[in-house]
Amino acid sequence: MPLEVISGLPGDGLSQKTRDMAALAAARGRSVSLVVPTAADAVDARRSLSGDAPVGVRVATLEGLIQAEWALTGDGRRIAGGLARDVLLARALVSADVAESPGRGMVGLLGMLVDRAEARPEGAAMGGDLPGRIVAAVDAYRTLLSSFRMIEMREVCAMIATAPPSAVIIVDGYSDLRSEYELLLQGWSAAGADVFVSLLWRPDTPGTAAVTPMIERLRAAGATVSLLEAGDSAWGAELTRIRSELFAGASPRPGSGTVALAVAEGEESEARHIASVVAGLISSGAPPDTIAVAFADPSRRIEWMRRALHDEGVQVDVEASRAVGETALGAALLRLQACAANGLTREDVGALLRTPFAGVAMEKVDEADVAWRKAGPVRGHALLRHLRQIDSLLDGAVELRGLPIGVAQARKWKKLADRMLANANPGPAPVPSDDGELDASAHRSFCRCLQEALELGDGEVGADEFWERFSGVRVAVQSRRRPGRTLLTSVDAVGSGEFDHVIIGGLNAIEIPRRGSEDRLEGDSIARAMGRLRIKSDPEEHARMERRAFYLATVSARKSLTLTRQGTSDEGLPVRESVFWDEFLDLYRVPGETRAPGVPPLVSVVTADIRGAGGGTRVPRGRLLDGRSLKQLQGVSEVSPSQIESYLSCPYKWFVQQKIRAKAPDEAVDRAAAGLLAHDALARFYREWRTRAQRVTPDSVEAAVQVASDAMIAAARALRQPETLEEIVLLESVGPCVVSLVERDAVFLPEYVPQHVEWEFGGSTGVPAIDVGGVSLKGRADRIDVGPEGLIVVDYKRTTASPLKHIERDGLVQLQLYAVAASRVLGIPVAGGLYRSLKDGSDRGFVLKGVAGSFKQADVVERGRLDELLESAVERARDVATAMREGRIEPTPSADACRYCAASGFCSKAVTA
Amino acid sequence: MRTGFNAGQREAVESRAGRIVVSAGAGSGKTRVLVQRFVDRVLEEEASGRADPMRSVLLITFTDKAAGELTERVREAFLDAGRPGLAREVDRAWISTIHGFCARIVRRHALELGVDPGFGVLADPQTGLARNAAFERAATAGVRTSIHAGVIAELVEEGVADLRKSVLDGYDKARSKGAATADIGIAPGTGYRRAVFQLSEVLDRLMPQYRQLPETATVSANLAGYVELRAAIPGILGIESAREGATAAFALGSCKGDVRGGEEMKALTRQINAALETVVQSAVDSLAAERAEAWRDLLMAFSEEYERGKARDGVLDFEDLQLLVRRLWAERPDIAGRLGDSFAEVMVDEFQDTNLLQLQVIEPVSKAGQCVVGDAQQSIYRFRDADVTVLDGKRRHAEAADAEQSCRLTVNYRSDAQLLAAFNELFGAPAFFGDDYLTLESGASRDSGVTWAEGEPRVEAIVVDKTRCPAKDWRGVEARALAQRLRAMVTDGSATPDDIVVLARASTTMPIYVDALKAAGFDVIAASSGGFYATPEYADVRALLRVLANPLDDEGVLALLAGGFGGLSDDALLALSLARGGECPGLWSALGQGADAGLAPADLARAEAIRATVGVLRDRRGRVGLADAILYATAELGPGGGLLERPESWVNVRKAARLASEFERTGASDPGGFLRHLDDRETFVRREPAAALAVEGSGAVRVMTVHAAKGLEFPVVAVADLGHGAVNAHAAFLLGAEGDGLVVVARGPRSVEGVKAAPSHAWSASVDEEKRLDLEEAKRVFYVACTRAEQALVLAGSTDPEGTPREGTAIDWVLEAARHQGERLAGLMSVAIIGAEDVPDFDPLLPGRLRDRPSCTRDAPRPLLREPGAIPPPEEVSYTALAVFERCAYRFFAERMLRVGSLDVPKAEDPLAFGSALHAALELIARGETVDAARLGRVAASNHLDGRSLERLSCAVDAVRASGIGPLVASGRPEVPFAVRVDGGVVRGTMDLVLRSGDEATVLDYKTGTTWDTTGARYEAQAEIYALALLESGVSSVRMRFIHVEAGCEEVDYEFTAADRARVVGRIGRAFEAMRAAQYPPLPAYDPSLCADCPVSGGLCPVVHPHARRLPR
Ligand code: SF4
Repeated sequence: MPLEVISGLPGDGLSQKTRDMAALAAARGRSVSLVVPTAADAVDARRSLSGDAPVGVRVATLEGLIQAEWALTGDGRRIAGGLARDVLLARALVSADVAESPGRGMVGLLGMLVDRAEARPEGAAMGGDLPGRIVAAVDAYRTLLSSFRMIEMREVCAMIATAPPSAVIIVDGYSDLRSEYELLLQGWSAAGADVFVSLLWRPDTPGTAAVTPMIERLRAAGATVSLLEAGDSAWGAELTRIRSELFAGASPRPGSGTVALAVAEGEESEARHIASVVAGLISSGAPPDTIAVAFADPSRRIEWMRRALHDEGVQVDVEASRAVGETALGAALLRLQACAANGLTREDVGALLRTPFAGVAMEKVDEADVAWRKAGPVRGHALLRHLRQIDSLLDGAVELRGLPIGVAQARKWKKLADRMLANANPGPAPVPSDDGELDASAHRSFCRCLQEALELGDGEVGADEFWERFSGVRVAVQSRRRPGRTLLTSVDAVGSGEFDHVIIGGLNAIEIPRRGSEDRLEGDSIARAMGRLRIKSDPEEHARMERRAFYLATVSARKSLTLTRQGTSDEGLPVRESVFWDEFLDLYRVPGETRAPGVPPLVSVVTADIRGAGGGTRVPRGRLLDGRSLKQLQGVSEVSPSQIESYLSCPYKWFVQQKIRAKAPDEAVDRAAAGLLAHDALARFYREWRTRAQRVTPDSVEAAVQVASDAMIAAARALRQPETLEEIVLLESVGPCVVSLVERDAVFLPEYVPQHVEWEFGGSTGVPAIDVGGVSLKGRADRIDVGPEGLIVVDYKRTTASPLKHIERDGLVQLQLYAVAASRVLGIPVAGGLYRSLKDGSDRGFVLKGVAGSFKQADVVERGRLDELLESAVERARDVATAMREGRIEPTPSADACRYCAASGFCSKAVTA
Repeated sequence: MRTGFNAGQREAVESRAGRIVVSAGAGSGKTRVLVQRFVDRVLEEEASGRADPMRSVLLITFTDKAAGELTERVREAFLDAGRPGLAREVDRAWISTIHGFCARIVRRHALELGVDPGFGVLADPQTGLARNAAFERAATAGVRTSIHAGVIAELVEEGVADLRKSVLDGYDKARSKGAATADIGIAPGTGYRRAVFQLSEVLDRLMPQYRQLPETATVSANLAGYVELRAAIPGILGIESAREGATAAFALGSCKGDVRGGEEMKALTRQINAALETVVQSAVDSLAAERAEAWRDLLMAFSEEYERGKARDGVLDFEDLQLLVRRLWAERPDIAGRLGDSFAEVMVDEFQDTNLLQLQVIEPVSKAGQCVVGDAQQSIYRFRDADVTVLDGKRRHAEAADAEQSCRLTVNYRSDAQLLAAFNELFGAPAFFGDDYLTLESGASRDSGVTWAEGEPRVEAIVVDKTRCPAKDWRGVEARALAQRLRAMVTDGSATPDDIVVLARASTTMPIYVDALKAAGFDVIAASSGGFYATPEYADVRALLRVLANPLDDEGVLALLAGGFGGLSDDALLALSLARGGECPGLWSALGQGADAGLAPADLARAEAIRATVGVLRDRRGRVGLADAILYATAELGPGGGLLERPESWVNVRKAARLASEFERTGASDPGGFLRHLDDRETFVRREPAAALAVEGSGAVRVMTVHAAKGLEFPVVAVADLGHGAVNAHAAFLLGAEGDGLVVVARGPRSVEGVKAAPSHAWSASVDEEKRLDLEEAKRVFYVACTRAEQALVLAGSTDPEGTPREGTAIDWVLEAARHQGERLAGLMSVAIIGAEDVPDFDPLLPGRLRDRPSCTRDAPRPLLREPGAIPPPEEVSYTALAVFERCAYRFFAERMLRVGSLDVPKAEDPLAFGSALHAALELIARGETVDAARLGRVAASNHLDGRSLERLSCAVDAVRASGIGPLVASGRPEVPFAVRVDGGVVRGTMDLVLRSGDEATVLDYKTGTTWDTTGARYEAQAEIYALALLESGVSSVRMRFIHVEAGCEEVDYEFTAADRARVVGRIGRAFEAMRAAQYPPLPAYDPSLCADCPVSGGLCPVVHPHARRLPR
C-alpha cells in the first residue's frame, strides 16, 4: 500500500487527525499501531483514545514497536545499546589500534560510523593507515557484536521490514531522520500495511525546510503528501506572520506586543526574568499549564529555573535528563566507588557521610570529622573507628573494588544501592517524595547498567569499563505534564505541542544551534574512512533540524511568545547571541538596525536589579553593653605580656582571641605551628643539654648539634604529619634553623649561662604571678641567661628579631615584662632582653652597655635608659589592664594586626592586603 | 556596493594582492572593511564556482564577542546584497577566535592527533586547579628527588605562591612561543672561579704597591684584610661544590677596603674593590644560574605532570588547541594543504595582539591569500604573551615585497574632530609615540547626543597634586574630583550617565572610583572584580558553610554568630563562650541553652532563628542544594543579622550561590568540599576582571578596565588612576629570548648567608628590557583608553606636578606633553591641578539618583526551601500493574511509580520467560506464520530458554494445535491492545486472542505452569478488566476463556454482559482511589510468590525473607 504523509504546523491539528484515523480504523475492525514520539505522548494518546477506541489500537514509540517486533520475530540476538554497546565499541577501537584507551568522544564517534555504515567493510578498505584502522574498528565491532550475539538497530529494522506489526500503522509527529526508520516504514507499506506519517512541515516554509529532502524521498518512493491547514486565524496577526515569514526574508513590520524580548546579565538573571514573566502571565489569568518554558538543552538550566520559578510560586513539571552524577544518589554511588578506589580518603568518606545515603547520624559524623581534622592526613579504615554504621557500605564497596561485573558482583552492588536508597528514606515502607523519585531513577539507571554489563557475560565487563560508562549515563524521571503546572522542557518538545504562551530562553550562540558534533565527521581520516565505508554524510543536517525545532517552538505559541538570551555571562563576559535571535529580529527591522521602532520592546535584566529583601544593619563590634559582660571583664585578674601586646595591636582581636576563644578543630601546620615546633625542640634540647653542661661552647658545639637534631626529631613526632608541599617544606625548614641557633649559642653571650628554660611565672610551676597595678602578670619566657651584669631574657622568633627601635616604635612589652618578672622573682638585676631570630640569625633587643658579645650598637643601652624601658613597659601593662577591665574592646585595625586575626571576617574593620 | 568607503578603505576592500597588511587606526571603520571584504570574497568564490563559498574565507577575530558581531554584520551584508540564502548560512562560516578555529580543527582531526574527539576545554577555575595540582606534585617530587632538591626547597621556602606563579607564567610564555620546556636554555654566569682567579692576580699585582704606601690606620687595616683575602683564595678555588664555592666567594665581598686616604691609595683600593665586586657579582651569577637550572627542572616536571593530568581527564587547555594544530600542520602537511586550498583567503583582525604560535597556526592555511588588520598602537595584551613585533614584521615585509600590499586606514569616524586634533597633538608628542605616531584624520563622527559648548576643550586633565592631599588618600581625592566633574556634566545636561564610562588601568583600585561615583549619586555598573573574596558577605557565607559542615567547629560558629547571618551582640558572644563546658562543649551547644546561657531577649530571638535555620538545612542535607541553602539562610537570617546592609550585599550573596550551583554541577554537595573548592578558587583562579557592559539604557555609569573596553566606544570617556605606575614588579625568574630559543634568567638569592645580594647580571639586563616593553605597552594602553571617546575625554591622575616625573606614569606623560606641545595643545586640552582642599565632600542633600532606573527593577521574592512534592498517582496503569497493586500495594508503588531498578538475571526455567515464549509462538501462529521447529527455536532463543524449556515449549504449542482451540488461534486476532477509562484513570493491557462475532466477543488467555487454579478465582480480576474494555468498545457480551496450555488445555470460563459493568468499574475505581490517597501498605509478612523477585525487598521494604540476614540499619 502507498505511504501517505500528512503535514502541517503546530495548531493545524495533526495529532488529533492521527488519533481520529486510528480510532476510525480500529472501529472498522482493523489492527492499528499508533506510533508517537515519546512515552508521555503514548499515555496522552491512550487516554484520548480510551473513549472512542478502547480496544484495538496499539500505542507505542517507534523504538518500542521495533523492539517488540524483534522480540517476537527475531532470532534471540540482543539489540545493541547502552553500556554493552559502548564497551564493545571501545574494545573495537583498542583492537583495531585506533586508540589505547578510548574516551567517550572516541566511542561516540565510532558509534556514529557504525550507525551509518551500510554493509560490513571490505578487507581492502582496512589498510594499515588511520582511515583503514578506523574501518577495521567498525569491522571489529561487528565481529564482537556477533560473538556476543547482538545486533544493531539498523539491521533489526531491515529484518522486520517485511512483516508489518498491524494492518494500519500511523506515525504521529515523525521527525527522526534515521534512514533505517524511513526504510522500515516504506517496507511495511510495501508489505501491505496502510502507513500514514504525520509530519510538521509546510511547503515553501523555510522554517521546516530541514525535512523537505525527506518528504522528497518519500514522494519519490511513491508516497502521497497532503497538507492539513486549520487556517491560522486562531493566532493573532503577529504570531500568524511568524508562521509564514520567520526565516523567509519578508520585509519588516512593527510588532504588536504579542512578542517580547529580553537580554539578561547572566544565567540567573535570565531565569529570574523568565520566572517573573511566567508569574505575570499566571497572575493575569493564564492557566499555568498553558505556559511552556523551553531551552535547547534544559538540563543545563534546571537549577536556576526551578529556583526562580519556585521563588515566584510557580509549580513546574520538568522534562529534562541529567547526568547521573548530578542526582543525589548517583553522586553518592560514584562517591562510594571513589571511596573504595582511592583507598578511603578523608575527603571522599566525609563527603559520602554527609549524604543521607550513608545513614549515619549527623552528630556522629560531626564527631568523627573533628577527630579526623585533628589527626591530619589519615586514610583507610582508620577513619572508620567511630563509625560502625557505615562499615557495611564501605566494606562492601572495598570488597568489590576492581572486580569485574559478574552476576554475584552485580547483585552485591545492587544491594549496596538498595541500602543507600533505604538509608535516605528511613522508616518502614517509606513513600518517598519526588526527590526520592529522582534517586530511584538513578538507582534504575545503575541497575540497568549492571544488567547491560551482564548481558555481555558473567564477569565480562571490567570494573573500570563499568564505572567509566556509568558515570556518563543520563537520568530522567518519568515525564509528566500535570494540570496546573507550567512546563519546563526542550525546544524540540515544545515544538511538537501547542501552548498559549511560549518562552524560549538561552538564545545564545553556544546553546542554539548546537554545533560541533558534525565537525567530528569532517576530519581527514574520518572522512576517508567514511568514504571507504560508503557513508554519505550531510554535516549541515543537524543544524537545519535545529532551525526547524526553533521555528516550530516559536509557532507553537498561540497567544504570546517571549524570547530571552544572555547579554553577558554571570561573570560579566560578553556572550554571543544566537543567529536565530538576529534572524527573528529581522521580522521587525531592517537587519542591522538594533533599535528600530518596530522591534518588540527589549527588556534589559541587570543582575544588580534583582534585589533581595534588604534592610538590617550589622551589629557594630567592640561594644559591651550588658552589665554582666562588663562585670566579667572587670574580673580580669591575670594577663600575660603576649595578651598585652595582642590588646595593644587591637583590643577586639584580644577580646575574641582571649575571651571568646573559639577554635577550629583543624590542627594547622602553619608558620605558628612551625614556631611552636622550634620552641619545643629548643626546650627539649636545653633540658637535655643542661644535664651535661652549663652552656654550649665552641668545643662542645658538635655534640650539642647532635643533641639538638635528636630533640628536633622528637618534637616533630609530636606534631601532626604535614600534607601539602608548603607544610612539608615549612616543617623541614625548622630543623636547620634550630641547629643553626644551637651553633650560634656557642658564641652567644659568652659570659652568660642559660639558667632557666621555658621559665614560667603565674602558672602551674609554683613561681607566683607578679603584680602590676593590681593585675597579675603571668607568662613564660623562652630562656633566661644569667651572667656578670645580671639576667638577660631571651625570646626565639621564627621571623626577624625586632631591634630596640621597633620595640619602642611598636610598643612591644614582652621582653621587658619578662625581665621585670624574672628580676623580681630571682632577685637578679636586669641586663637585657633579646629576640633571637631563627630565620636570619640576628639577635636584637636591648642590652646593658658592657655585656660581652657582639651586638648592634643601636641596641646597647645605659642603665638609666634600661630602667626607663622597663618602667614604661610596666606602665603600659597597667594601662592595658585598666582598659581591659573597663571593657574597652573597639577594633583598631592595622595590616599587621588583621592579617592573622580570627575576627577579620566579622569585625567590619579588617584591613585586607 | 562600494558607497561610503574612503580611499584607504576602498583599497583595503578591493586589493587582491596575495598578502595585505592593513594598518587601521582607532575608529577607522576596519570592521566595515572586514565585512565587505569577507562578503565580496564569498560572492567571488561563488561566482567562480567554488563548492562551498561560505566556507572559503577564514576570518579570525580576537574575542568571541567580536566574532559574533562580525557574523551578524556579514549576515546583514548578505541580506543587503539580496542574498538571503547565504545570509542564512553565516553561522556556518569560518568566523571565530583563534581558539575557536583551533578547537574546530582539533575536533575534526582528533584521531590524527590522538586526542579524544569529545575532549573538554579547560577553563577557569579548573585550569587553575589542574595546574596547581600538577605544580604541587612536581614541586613535592622536586624537593624530594631532584638533583637540585636543596635549591628547590629553598625556592619553595622563600614563597610557594611566587614560585608557582613564576613557573606557570614561564610555562605559558614558553608555549606562546611554541617552545618545549625541555629546550629552554640557561643564561650562563661568567663563573666565579675565573673572577676569583683574576682577583688573586690583581692582589698579587697590587699588594706590593700597597705595601709601599705611607702607613695609615686605614692602609694597615686594608692591607691586613687583603693578606687574609689572598690567603683564602686557594681554599675557595679548591671547593668542589659550585654552590659552596660561590657562597664562599660571595663572602669575600666583606673584605672590601676602606677608600680613605691619598690618591694613590684610593686608586689601588678601588682597583682591588672592583675585582672584589666582580667576584661578588659572578658569585651571585653562579648562584643564580644554579637556581635557574633548578627552576627549569621544576618547570619541566610541572609541564610533564600537567600534560599527564590533562591526558588522564581527557581535557585540553586553550594553548593546547593551538599547539595541537601546529603539530598537525607539521606532521600532516597534506591536511593543512587541503584546508588551505579550501580557503580563498585568511583574514585576521586585531593582528597586533597575536603571537608567534598563532602565526604558525595561521600561515600554513593562508596559501591563497591573507589579509591582516591591526594597529600597533593598540597592542595591549603583552601580559597574555601577545607580541606586537609580529605585526611590525609583516608590515615591513608587505611594504618591501611587490606582490604584497600595505594599506593604512587613518580616517577616524568615531571621535569628534577637535578631540582627534587633541589626540594627534598628545600622542604625537615625544612623551608618547613621537614620530612613530599614526596621525588620525577626521571623518564624520556620529551624533551621540552629547552636547559640548563651542570652543570648550574636549579633553580635560584633572591632576591631583599629591603633596596637597592627606597621605594615602590622594586616590580618594582624585576619585571624588572625577565623580564631581562627571556629575557636573550630567547636571548641566551635557551628557547622561549612560553616555559615560570610567576606565581604570587596574581592577584593584576600581572600587575606590565606584564608591566615589555612588557617593556622587550615580548608579554604577562595575565589573565584579577580584574583590569578591574580601567582601563581608563572602566571609559570612563561608561561616555558614562551616557550620553546616560541622557545628563543632567553634571558630566557624563564632564567625556565623557574629557575622551578617548571626547578628549576635558581643555580650551574647561572651555569654555563650562562658556557658561552654561540661554538657555543652562548644558555642553551638551553648547556643541551645538560650536564656540559660544568659542571652538578652533580642539575642535570644536571633539565637533561636539561627538554630532553626541551620537545623532545617542540616536535617535536609543532601536534599537541599548548597546554593539553595545559602539563599534560604539569607532570606531567613540576612535581614535580621545585617547581611544585606550594603547595596551590593545581595549581589555578593548571589554570586556565592552561583559558585555553589556551579560546584554542585560536578556532582558534589557537601559543604566541606565546597569550602575546599572555594579555597582553591581564591588561590588559583586567575581571571581578568570582566566587563559589565552589555546592557544599555540602564541609566548607570559603567566602570571597567581598559582591556575590557577594547573595541568599544563611548560618548564620554574618563580615564582614571593615571598616577598608577606602569612598571610591574618582575618575577625572580624570567624567560628571555636568545637567538631562536628561550633562556631562563634568575634573579639569584636575595641574601647569601644573611648578607643582601644584588640581582644577577643577566636578570638585571632582562628586567631593563622588560621595563622598556612595559612602558611601551603602558603608552598603548593609555592610547586605547583615550581613543574610546567619541565626544569628550576626562583624564584623572595624581602626581607631584613639581617633582621629577616618575617612569611609566601616564599623568606625568600628559603633563610633559602639555609642556612640550604648549600652544598647540592649549585650546584642545585643559589641565587643572588641584589639591584636597579643592574637592569638597558631596552635599548629601542633593538628589541621590541622577536618573530613574527603567522599570525592570524588581525585588526577587523571598526564597523558601522547596518542599519535596508527593509523587502523583498514575494516570494510567497496566492490567498487570493493577494486579500487583491488588496483591501488594507497596511493591506496586516501588516498581511502577517510584520505579526503582531491578536486576533481571536470566535463570534457567524462568516461568515468566517461558510464558512469553509461548505467547509469542501462539501470536505468530495467529499471524499466519509458519511456526516450525526452526522458528520455535528462534522464539526460544529470544526468550533465553534452554534446551529443556524449548522441548517444553514445543510440547505446549503442539498441545494447543491439537486441542479444540487450535483452529481458534489461527482465526482470532492476537495480542489485542486496550486502554479503558475508569474513574479518571486509564487501565491498559493486551489480550492474548480476541474472536469477534457480531456484537459478541470471546477472549482467550493462555496460562502456563504446573500450578493451576481450577476454581479460577485468581483470574477473576483479569477477566473483569478485559471484559470491561470490550464492553466499552460496544460489545454486548464477553466470554473469557482461560486456557491452561500445559494441562491439556483445560479451561476456566467467565461470561459478562453490560450488567456487570458497574461492578467492575467500582472495583477498579477503588484501586485508583487508594492510589490517590497514597495508600501503599506492604504485605504483613514475606510471601515468596511476590517478595522473591520484588526489587525493594530488604531494601526500602522492611519485609525480608525470614532467614535472610539483613544489613543493620
Ligand atoms: S580584623 Fe583587624 S580590626 Fe578586626 S578585630 Fe581583627 S585585628 Fe581588629
